[in-house]
Amino acid sequence: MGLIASIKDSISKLFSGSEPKRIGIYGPPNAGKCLAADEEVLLWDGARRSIKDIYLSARATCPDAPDVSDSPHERWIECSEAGIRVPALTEELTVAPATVSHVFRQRYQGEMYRVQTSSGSSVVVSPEHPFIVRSDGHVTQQQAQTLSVGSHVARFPTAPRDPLDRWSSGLGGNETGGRFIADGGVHTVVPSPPTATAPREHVTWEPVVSIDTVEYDGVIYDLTVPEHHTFTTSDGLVVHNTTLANRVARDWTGDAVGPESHVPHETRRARRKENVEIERNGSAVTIDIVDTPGVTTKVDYNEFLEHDMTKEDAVRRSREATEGVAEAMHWLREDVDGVVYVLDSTTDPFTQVNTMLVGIIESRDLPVLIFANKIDLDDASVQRIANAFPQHEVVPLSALEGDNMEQVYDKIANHFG
Amino acid sequence: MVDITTDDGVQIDLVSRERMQNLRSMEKIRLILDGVREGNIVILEEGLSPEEESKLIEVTMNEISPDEFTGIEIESYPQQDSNPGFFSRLFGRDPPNKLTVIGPANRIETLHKDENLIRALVTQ
Repeated sequence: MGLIASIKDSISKLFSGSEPKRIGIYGPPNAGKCLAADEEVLLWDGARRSIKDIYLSARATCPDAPDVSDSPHERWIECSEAGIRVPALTEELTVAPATVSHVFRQRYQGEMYRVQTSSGSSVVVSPEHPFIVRSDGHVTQQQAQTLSVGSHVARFPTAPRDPLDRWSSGLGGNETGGRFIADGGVHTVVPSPPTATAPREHVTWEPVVSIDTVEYDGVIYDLTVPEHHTFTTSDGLVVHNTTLANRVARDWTGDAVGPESHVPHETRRARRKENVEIERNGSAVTIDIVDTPGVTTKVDYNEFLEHDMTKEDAVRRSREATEGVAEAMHWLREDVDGVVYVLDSTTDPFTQVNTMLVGIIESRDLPVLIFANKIDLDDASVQRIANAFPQHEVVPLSALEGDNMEQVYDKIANHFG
Repeated sequence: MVDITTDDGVQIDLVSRERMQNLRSMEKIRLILDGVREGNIVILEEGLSPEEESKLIEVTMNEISPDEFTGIEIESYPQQDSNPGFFSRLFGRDPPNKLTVIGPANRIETLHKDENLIRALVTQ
């Protein structure tokens, strides 16, 4: 495109009609955040089951349930019909029953964290798994890798066999309980009650006494619990990572792009959330969010067999993944007005896929913002991404923690409005 | 084009700039994927355009098949100037694409890559 045409095109984009812009969210595949396979989860009826058993049970109960994960290396299964109920922590720090909406698992090789509290209970989680922590008079999420000895994590004071009665009537007993971790769906910052032992609270706060790293090579699991986004194990709690698209959509519509609004029978394909209105400085910008699968040039179903899948399931999943990437490529050429390119700031950005994707976006003269995600992690380097793509504006953020989201929305409004 | 073939080895197709320039986009993609699906390593003297790279990914995804084809590994040197300057825009002259290596995903593994060196391991 020549210079004049380019300028005209840019101006026409700036002053085009009121039709919402379609903003595609692209990026390479990411890893999730989970619990070790043998960790036990506390159910609402007081029973305890390993998270792996819960996953397998949900799969058996809902054999035809759609898989809504957008990564070829993980499974995220809708299982509301399985009726798995767990005690969840509400924003008022009380306990309420909640139904697990999705079960998740992925292959993981790397460092996990064993977090032990003063009661002697411990849990093994992936580094990014948040616990619910009380700090400076507020209750918030904190990832396992950022916890320190002395951090106070939320914990059930009891683990009754009849939790409905005990929890609904307040605290009771001295039995061993579990700790809460948010499931990551919503970043909740709850004002602290006047005292840590306020009668309405169904949790107490227990200090962490040790944090050790352990090498892990196996399958890890997670659950998704709508609304309260917490559940407890006999020793700890789980989280599923929040995608950027979910973060944006939830912040501005109260809904999510993911499981709640995915297109039926088009699992792992690009998903849309239309008419997301972002208000900045008194004016509103309306965009359609297109959340795409992680782009790759190869998909091998044999990798899925390592996840205890049948060959039939693995082949089906790999086919869905390839369709999703092909669709994302097609949309990038035909059907988006701008691109948010999301990169993991803890990994090397100089990859072939990143180079190709950014080149494709530039060749189409699409406005693009590069988001350097996961800045909450110690080894994050926003500068490394800025050095890799110096021609583009790089916005640091943590979609999981909600860090710097105000600037994110400012940039979206300015760039795509 | 030069074909290097041995009974037990890996065939490498070195495709010249001139040969590619005379092909349409889909013909380029077919040339690459047909070679890669036969197990060959395809080296392009001058790589694909971004539009063609996008189509290559899309077509590759559509052709992935269990036990037959798991996709491609592709490496090329980064563009020295991926943000065309005033004269490039004025005269519609894009910076030249650089040497590109493409192979079957299950037979080629990139060991190292920087602006001046691509080191890959090819297995049979």
